[in-house]
Amino acid sequence: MVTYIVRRLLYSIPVLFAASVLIFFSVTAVGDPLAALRQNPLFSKQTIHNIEVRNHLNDSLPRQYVYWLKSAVTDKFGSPLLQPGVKIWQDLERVIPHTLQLVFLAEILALLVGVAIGVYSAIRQYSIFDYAATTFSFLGFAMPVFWLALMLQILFTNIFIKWHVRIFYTSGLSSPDPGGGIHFWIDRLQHLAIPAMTLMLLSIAQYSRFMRASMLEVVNSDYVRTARAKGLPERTVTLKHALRNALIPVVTVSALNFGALIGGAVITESIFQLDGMGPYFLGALFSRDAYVVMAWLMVTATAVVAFNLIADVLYGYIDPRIRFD
Amino acid sequence: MHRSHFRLVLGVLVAVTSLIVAGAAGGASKKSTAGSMTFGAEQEPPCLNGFTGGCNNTWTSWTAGIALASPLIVKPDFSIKPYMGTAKVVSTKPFTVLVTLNKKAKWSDGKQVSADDLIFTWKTIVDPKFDIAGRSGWDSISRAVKVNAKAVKFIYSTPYAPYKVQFATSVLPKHALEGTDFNTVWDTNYNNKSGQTMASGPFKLQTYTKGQSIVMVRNSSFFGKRPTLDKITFLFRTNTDTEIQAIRGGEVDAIYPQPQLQLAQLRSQSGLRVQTHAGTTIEHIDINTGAGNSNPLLGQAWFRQAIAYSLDRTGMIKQLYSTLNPGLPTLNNLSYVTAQKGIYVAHFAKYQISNKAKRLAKVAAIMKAHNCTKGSDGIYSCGGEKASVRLGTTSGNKLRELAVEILQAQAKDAGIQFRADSQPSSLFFPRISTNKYDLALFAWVGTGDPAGQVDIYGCADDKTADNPNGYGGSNWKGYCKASVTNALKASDAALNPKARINLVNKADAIMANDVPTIPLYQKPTYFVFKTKLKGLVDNPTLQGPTWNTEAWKAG
Amino acid sequence: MVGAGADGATISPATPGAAVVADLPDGIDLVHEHGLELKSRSQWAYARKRFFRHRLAMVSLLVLAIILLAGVFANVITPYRFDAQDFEHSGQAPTLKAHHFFGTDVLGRDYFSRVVYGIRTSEKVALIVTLVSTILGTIIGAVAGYYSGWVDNILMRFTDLILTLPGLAVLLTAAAFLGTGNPIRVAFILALLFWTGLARIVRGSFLSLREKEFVEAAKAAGSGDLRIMLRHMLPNAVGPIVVNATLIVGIAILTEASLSFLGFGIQPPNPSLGKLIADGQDVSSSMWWLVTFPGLTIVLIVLCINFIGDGLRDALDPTQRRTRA
Repeated sequence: MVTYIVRRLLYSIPVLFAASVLIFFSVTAVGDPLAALRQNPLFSKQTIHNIEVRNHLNDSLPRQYVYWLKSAVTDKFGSPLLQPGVKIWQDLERVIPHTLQLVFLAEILALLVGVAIGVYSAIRQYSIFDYAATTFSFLGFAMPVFWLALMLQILFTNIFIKWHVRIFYTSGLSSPDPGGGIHFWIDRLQHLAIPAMTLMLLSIAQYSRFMRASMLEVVNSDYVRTARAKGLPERTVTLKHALRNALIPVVTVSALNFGALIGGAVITESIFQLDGMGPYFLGALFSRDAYVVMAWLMVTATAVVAFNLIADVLYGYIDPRIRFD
Repeated sequence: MHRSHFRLVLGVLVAVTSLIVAGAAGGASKKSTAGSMTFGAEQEPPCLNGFTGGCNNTWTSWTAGIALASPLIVKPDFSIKPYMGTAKVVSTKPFTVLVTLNKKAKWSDGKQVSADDLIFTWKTIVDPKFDIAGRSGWDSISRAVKVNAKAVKFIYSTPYAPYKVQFATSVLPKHALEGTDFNTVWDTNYNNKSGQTMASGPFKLQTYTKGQSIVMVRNSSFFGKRPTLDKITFLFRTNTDTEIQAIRGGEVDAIYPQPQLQLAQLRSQSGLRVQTHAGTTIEHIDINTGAGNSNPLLGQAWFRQAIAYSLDRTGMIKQLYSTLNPGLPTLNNLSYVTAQKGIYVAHFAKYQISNKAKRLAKVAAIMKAHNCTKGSDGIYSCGGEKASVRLGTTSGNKLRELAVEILQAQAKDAGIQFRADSQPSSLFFPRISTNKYDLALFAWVGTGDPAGQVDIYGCADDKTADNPNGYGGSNWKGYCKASVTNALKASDAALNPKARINLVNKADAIMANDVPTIPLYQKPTYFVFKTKLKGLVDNPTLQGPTWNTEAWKAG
Repeated sequence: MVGAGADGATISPATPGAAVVADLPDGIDLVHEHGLELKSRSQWAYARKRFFRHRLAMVSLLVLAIILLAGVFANVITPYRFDAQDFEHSGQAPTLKAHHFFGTDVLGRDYFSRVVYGIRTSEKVALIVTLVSTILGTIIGAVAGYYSGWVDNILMRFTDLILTLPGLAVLLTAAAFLGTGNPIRVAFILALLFWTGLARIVRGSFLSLREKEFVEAAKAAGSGDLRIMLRHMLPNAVGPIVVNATLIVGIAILTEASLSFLGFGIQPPNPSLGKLIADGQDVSSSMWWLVTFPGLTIVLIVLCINFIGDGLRDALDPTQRRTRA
């Protein structure tokens, strides 16, 4: 197992390198980071020239990549192209925890609810609960994120207008003066609640459907039949034997989701003004700031690779028949 | 359901309910103090030093920039008036401007705002080491003469007509910034060398929480009337729908959003006031008359005129803005705005034919005069070339996309086809700045003063390697006419205001016949705030809604 | 679907009073009671019969067919052109007057016509994305899971690479080079990013299945690799594949909506279901029908596909004894 993990980590290095080259070339080759500045006829040409020289923007692409690599290794990813006084690493240190808070909240709740719904739907296949759960999970799934976000914002604003009770906030990470300690965290939860709800609905649909499907397969298998024939209570059969094997696809999907959402639930974080990885990346991408995009990419790529590894290790733990060669 | 599941779900429910109760209790007791307000800022400044290219964003000056006052200020009626000082032309040969600072102007650390600061500001702006965004005017100053502790004479090498706009720039404190790297020193605060925040304006910068807020508190050293508010908190809210819910629910007290259709609902919301005016952002359609376009007909002035005639701009404006700004006027001049009475001349008004039948007849007459025939799909063909061109804008901007769809339908009725080719702005602008388009719908951010128009509409002086056609730096239309260029260049040096206006209008009249650009409208401002706030006045110029924060009152 | 006997034959437990049915390798039913005649059926015919008996799937198939055919014959059934503007009648609620069943939009265009043409565009995009990503993901996952070892390693590292690339950056780059607005191009690019989830799931299933007895038996019987993968393992992995495909259809349509929200979408005046929602949500508080009708259409499509998927999975699972009456 340990050699497997070490070997996987070593294999990740060429993957990360390949990804960095691909993305660097696509971001720099297409589009001009100074386009927005050039549009303004009164913008100083001298300054544009300064920025081009300082950031080697007129060099060949491979040369620019090497400059980036150097600054990434020696200067923690360096500074954005247009703001030489700002440190990218500081920005990342700030935005990553915000995203983690949102993602953990949304995914853990989604897992609990989704798995529970999936298991119960499978056990009571084609019952009213099953149909209702299917329809609701697909309603939640088929709603575009930006529309669902707006509906929830309107709902809670209307509650405040009518009853003057602030249950959850519709935007931002914290109130202007949140206080310290427990007050800060309650305030933070009140701000993250609606975004988490928005994210959750999609995940619940996914997890419940996968759970239901794999439970149905497992519940009809030989060893489950054996367990029943042995006279074990239904609960033990379900939880101890069926569930464990049925979790495999759900484990895959959820580990991948965790990894992917580290890159930020872009639209959710933008709409709710959560200072996270999503908007950070979006701003850099649309202004073609290669250094910020690359730094963001290295962080998210590492997260994705790490969570893939975790998913695979969990496989081996859950299904003892899978051998690692 | 199994008992363990049941207990788990019950536990979660209890936790959530207690959260709600705690939050509700907390929320009810939290109330803003009578002397403070929250402003929803639609963009976050990338950094706080508004002078540098990387931080140069209108919201930088509208939020933290309140702390740094300027000698002159642009008022809502587009006039430029004294604020922290005055600027007077004392000689025309050589062109000399005397800038005098208010006697009471002082920095928040106690030192006077002085002539040294003015000279230091000039030196910093023209310093080639620093990434300064706007140097125009300042780089025409050949020397500065200190008259006394509060006054400086700036002597120019060439006359600079828009000098008033130039002195609506903030003054920098020499003692705090001398010797520092201006590119990085004021990125996240306005501190002097001892860590004290510097301010000459009505409010000073207290905290900047990146990604969340900027907090400004009253500056007791302000030279003018004592500001009534204790504190203004700017919260960044970039999404229009989020802004609307935030102000409805009281999470912010004022917003200044880009106009979007859903904002109309706020007009009927009780407890809110809406102020909207035609702003200085000029929405227009640029026409690529030269290389890079897909249809050679665009090089012919008559064809461009036909396009202009086929559009019912007033009808489009009505469709788009009747709920937001009912009286929004059509813009018929490329350099001045409609509010500038006595200056604005509607040269392009002839192209606005509101009666559909007459409009179609006019286009048909032009087409016929140039031997164009209508095809079976209703689109003209002229000498083998179909009257079909691309029209693009920045996608993602709903009102612009709707404008394109409306214009497509209008042109089609008249027999001209517009094929849409919109893209997100990060792809759109690089494309049009390399002349790869036919018609482009976008905006110039103006000041109401036509300084720099030669860059957009004129020919450049020298043909260089990266500008082989010799067009002005922002002239992506392939349009070069000597008469226009000369008039606009002369206007930048014309010190007599009347002469200046005449020169600009002369160029505009010529362009009204050549139609390299079709003016559409001035994007309206949209200022929404709680009725309990007093003293808030919309300023549609670049000075912005926070031009008079010293007069704001809450409750 | 574990527990199938060798070569797809199934032995079911004897239930008193019922006929004993044994499926022999070439699918001959032997019914011992009442002298009824023998009828030979292949396993796929048996599955087809079970599918047609699944009422919910049949109803969904019908509804889906109606929706899809509406899109195909859009120009026949719509009362107006999708780009005919009529400012006098803009913003009208759904009514029977003048055949504006779904009302009109901000520019006075008939919304029923726009939704139907939107179905046409969206079904093109969704079909391409789902087909290409499902086929690609299944092939890669199957090969990786079956051969294991270094083949698995390389394919999974390649999957990791695709997973680490931020979709938005890839799309922006592709849009710059290929031009936006062409839904088919966008669909292909989306598909190239969507296959990774399925690949990992299929790989997981195949890793599990390759240890099963029937695979060993098939190998011992001399079956080639391809035959084993296609005939024995793939039918058992169909469950998650089908579930995933149904989710992808919905995700494809919704991603297209998000792309429109960010400004990458179809060029006006052409509609797609996603673009209609993105455009309509601005004024959705006063003109609810602009979001509701395309939204409901998406939900309906996704629900139908899901129930069809349920039916397919039930039909293909030889162990599922519970047939839907």
